[in-house]
Amino acid sequence: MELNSKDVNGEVFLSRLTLEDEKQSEVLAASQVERENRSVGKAERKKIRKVARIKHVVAEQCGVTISDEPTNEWLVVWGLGIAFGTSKEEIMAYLDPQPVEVRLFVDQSYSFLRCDSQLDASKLKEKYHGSNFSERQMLYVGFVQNSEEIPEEDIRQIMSFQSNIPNGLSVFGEFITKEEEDLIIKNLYVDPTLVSNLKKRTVQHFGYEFRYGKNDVDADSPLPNKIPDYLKPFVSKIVYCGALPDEPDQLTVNQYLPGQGIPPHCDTHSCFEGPIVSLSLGSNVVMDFRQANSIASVNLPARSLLVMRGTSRYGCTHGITPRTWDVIPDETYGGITVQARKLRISLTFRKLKRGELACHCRFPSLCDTQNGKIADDNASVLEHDLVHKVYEDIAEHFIETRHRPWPKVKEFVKNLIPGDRLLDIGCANGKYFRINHDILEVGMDMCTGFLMTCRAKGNNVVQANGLFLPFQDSYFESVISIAVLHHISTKERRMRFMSEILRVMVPGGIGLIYVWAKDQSVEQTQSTWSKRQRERNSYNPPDSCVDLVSDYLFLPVHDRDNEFSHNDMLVPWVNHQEKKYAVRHRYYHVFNEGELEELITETQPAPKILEAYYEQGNWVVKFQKLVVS
Amino acid sequence: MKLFTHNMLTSKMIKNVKVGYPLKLNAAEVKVTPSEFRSTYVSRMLPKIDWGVLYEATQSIGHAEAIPSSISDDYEKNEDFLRKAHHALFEIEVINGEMICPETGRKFPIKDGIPNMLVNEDEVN
Repeated sequence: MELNSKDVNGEVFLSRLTLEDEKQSEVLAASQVERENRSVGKAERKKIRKVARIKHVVAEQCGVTISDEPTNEWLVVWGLGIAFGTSKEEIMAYLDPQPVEVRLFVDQSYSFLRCDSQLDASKLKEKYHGSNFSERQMLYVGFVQNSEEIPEEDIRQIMSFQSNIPNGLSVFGEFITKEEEDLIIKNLYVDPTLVSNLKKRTVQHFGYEFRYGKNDVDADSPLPNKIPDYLKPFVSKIVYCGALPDEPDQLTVNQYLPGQGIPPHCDTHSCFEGPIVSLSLGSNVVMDFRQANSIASVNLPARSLLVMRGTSRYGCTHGITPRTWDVIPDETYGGITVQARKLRISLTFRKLKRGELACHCRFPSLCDTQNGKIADDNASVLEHDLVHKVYEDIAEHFIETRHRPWPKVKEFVKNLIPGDRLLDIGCANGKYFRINHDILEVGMDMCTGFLMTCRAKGNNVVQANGLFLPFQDSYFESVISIAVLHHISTKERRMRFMSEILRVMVPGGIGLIYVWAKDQSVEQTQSTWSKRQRERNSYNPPDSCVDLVSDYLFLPVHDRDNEFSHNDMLVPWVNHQEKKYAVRHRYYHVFNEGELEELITETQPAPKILEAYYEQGNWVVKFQKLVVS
Repeated sequence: MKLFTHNMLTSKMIKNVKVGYPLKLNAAEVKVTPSEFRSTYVSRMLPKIDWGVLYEATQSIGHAEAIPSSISDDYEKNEDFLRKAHHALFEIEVINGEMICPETGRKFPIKDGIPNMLVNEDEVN
């Protein structure tokens, strides 16, 4: 809903109402008006026109019919709705006789009311129809004929308030008094020359400047203006109550007008010490905390202190959606309500990190010093726990479900020259054996289950790790590695994987690599995999307690209903055939567009890229080892 | 593990190993499984095989009679030779045994016909 779509009388139209709908209803209404009410006054005509429009919209959107006579205790009230930022509490307090139920709808300018009796409904209609709730909210009240059609409130809107609250997050309500709040606002003289004009909000720094472009702080260039003295008592209180371990030396003041917000971000790990606190002044606001695929909404009341430590500080982002109101759970009346935003000022107190800046948190994907990377020391153990071990456990089920070769891989193998030697790195159950009878094939995998299956079919296999190929240099005319490289957890190791492939290839040899794409629906063609996942009744497996995921909490678990949210993720393997859902998680590094080509061309000596394409949720590169002259 | 596989394996991924080839082969159990002979296929593969290594492999696993010690010059036309080569490369299989790195003595077990060439990350370069 765009609140700025006001007509000259300050009334808000429905955003969903298209211009044509509106014109049509205007025309209808106008003709009706002319026919019936040639003599009535201008205001009256306007009211009738408006009622006709409301009838049209309400019928269109909910199938609710508005009648002129009361038939039950339900009313529709145009002018009291979420789009105006009017809360349930305000509606209840304003109307007399008080209704017993209010239903609100996101983005809508109207609400439905259930009165105590049909008589009360008539009274309300009589009393408020055509009256002003506020300067810009004129009320139009109608009787509902078919109350069974009135939709329920959409409580999905407030589900994010009920779960996924990240660890380490706390909000202390009424941390300061109303008087203290006023005092701070009065004292916060915002020097226009010191204000960096960010598009969405006004920002001022004290102590040190946070440089938004670089997302850092220059600890050697303190600002002339320190944290102001009049804030000292509050700073002491913050330290005294244990929200911050030491006195902060950096303050950022953000001023948000209604409609402004701040994009989801995570305060730079290497710049600031652990906890970060933020004092809200002037207005309540809803802040969203996003962690992998989950989102938690938290209401920050005016005068409250938000404390972020642990996961909430390092492992998730926080942000404020630019809106003029927030939909929140209604604690008093149940269901949803709306909270209008006013001018809000937030004071974020932080302490600069000094000396050793490296961060060793468990959340490399949000960590500037770990740069989203899994530490090399952990990579081998991680791959063992989250790839090799898992494949051993799921091999049997995997073999039952994965037989279809990728058509283009099949074609690649088919087109190899008679006498070529082919190495299949990560051959799994051996889908690409025996496609071409004139070549010499060797399959390689780490998983014993897969290798036994291949051997039972008479295929030649070797147990080895793609990072350490047990083959001579310049041996194979062709190498394929289908859906393997994305299980290797650091870029250094992925490069090693590539350079090992190139080492064992003959000059002029051709390789084909498939990896999972982060984007599963390039060019609007959703991959079969992601489609199939979606069709599977959208069952989201719970974290399995039997697997090792608990040691790898920093890796977000992929939700099959969504796109990949990160490059490094855990993908659940669900065995649907077993009665009890057996869930195992495999580690994946899903590739961005261009990432695989980049990796391959960075490998020395760089091969020539023959083809690079997207196929069904995979990035594919076909390359050739150059002949060194 | 067929002998052509042995022909391509090395232990050069191990720290300080320069060539790691050929791996010494010890067999506890050998199986011979007849397979379809195609002369053109075998003659195409022969230039890619280290004959000396193949010969030694047959010797070390008790199949010394399988092939002559050197490759025949006219192998493309010599069906008897090609059949012997086919037998040595694609029919003799080590089911259980081990391979040994010529430089470090590191052993690589062969179990149920599958050579285990896995190395620990602290063993490699």
